[in-house]
Amino acid sequence: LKTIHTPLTYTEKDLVESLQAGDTTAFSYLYDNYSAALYGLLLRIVQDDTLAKDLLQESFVKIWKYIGSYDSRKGRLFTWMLNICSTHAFEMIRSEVYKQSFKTLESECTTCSATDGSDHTDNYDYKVLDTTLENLPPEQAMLFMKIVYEGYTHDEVSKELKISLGHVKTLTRSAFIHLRKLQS
Amino acid sequence: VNIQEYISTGILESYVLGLATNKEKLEVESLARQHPEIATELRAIEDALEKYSLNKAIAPPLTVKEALWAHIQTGPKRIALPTKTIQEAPPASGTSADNMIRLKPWLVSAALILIVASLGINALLYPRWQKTEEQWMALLSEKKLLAAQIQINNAPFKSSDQQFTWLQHPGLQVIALKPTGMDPHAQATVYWQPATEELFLAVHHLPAPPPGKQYQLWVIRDGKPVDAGILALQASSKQMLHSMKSIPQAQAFAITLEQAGGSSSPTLDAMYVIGNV
Repeated sequence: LKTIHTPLTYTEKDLVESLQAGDTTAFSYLYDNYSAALYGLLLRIVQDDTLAKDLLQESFVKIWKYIGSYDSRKGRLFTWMLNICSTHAFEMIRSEVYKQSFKTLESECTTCSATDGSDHTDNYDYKVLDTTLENLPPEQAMLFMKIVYEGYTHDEVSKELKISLGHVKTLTRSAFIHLRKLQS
Repeated sequence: VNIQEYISTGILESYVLGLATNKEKLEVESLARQHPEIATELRAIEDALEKYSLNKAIAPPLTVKEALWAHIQTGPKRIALPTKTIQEAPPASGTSADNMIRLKPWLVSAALILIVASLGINALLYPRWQKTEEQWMALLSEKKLLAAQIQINNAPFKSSDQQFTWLQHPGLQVIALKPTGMDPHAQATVYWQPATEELFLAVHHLPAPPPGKQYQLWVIRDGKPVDAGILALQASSKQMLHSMKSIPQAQAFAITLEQAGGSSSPTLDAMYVIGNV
């Protein structure tokens, strides 16, 4: 992800300080290094590149606007940015406009069986691009997708999959442990 | 607190994913300060999430950065700016002033007025621009929605063409179904082609069925009611002809309100319309 646009490199601490001081060069560096990771996430959430593009731009505007309130003691900058993007995208996929267009598209498909009454689709075919998750046990992969890409809260997953809240949390941990192993 | 046990509950993952409650957040933050093991584990989870996201990165189109830059340079001041002061430019000394064009006072005032005016216009236009952007987003979504709907609407249009041709065949029986008293405005028409046994129904008015109920068409044949098909739940469009079951013989037609999915025999006290052939 090294880019030629910004020859500078920053430590996370320097980067945060520069951003909080309103340094646009630092912001450019931030964008060049992280926009692709966040765009990938947004695409996997909303499944539409026009929408993902808009959300990415709006999220970066938020990042720039609220960087003063980022507190490095509470977590890493990337985690903070990722949460801004996901929250923004989850708001979008839960909005009436998005749901309407989604439903319309679904009713176009004559072979689709009737919906089971849930707001979320259970069709993960288009998310197979996330091949890493294929290496996870199915239950953990499903949970990871529901939480990271569909904006389910632990409570909602617990109700939908009919497993206890405590189990949802430990399963999330198991999924992360698997991811960590895959990456090391 | 047993640290290992606390970590194994998965609370730290919840925290990183932004799913912890406020109470849990405070707890995690305070425990992370007290116990380096928790802080290290948190960091490892965050690193995993970052690494995972970087592995799955997809480069956005270049236009996004351009638009973002335009926004940031004209956009509003940021919230919670740190207290760091911007370094002031060194005051112009006498020697450097020699190299500078001496600015006439009126020119300075004119420039100042222009700057103030431009700032004012920016302030005026910014909310409008923001609103436009929102509207644009809404329109984009609407456009997608409409495009999808057009495709759906095309199908009934095609079939209404066919319906029109069909209605012109000789031998077609048109039977008006009249209200029985359940609803004085209830009205429907049956189009029946005995030669081909084809049967269509046009509903002009029937009260909206309550949840769990559906209208069902019956044909009276040799004095006995026979199911002629149920009316689709979303039979809202009045003009549409609904294709029903093939019927070789009939003396009368009637519509009753039945359980969704239809019944094997009609509920006679829920009959809305009837008409003889």
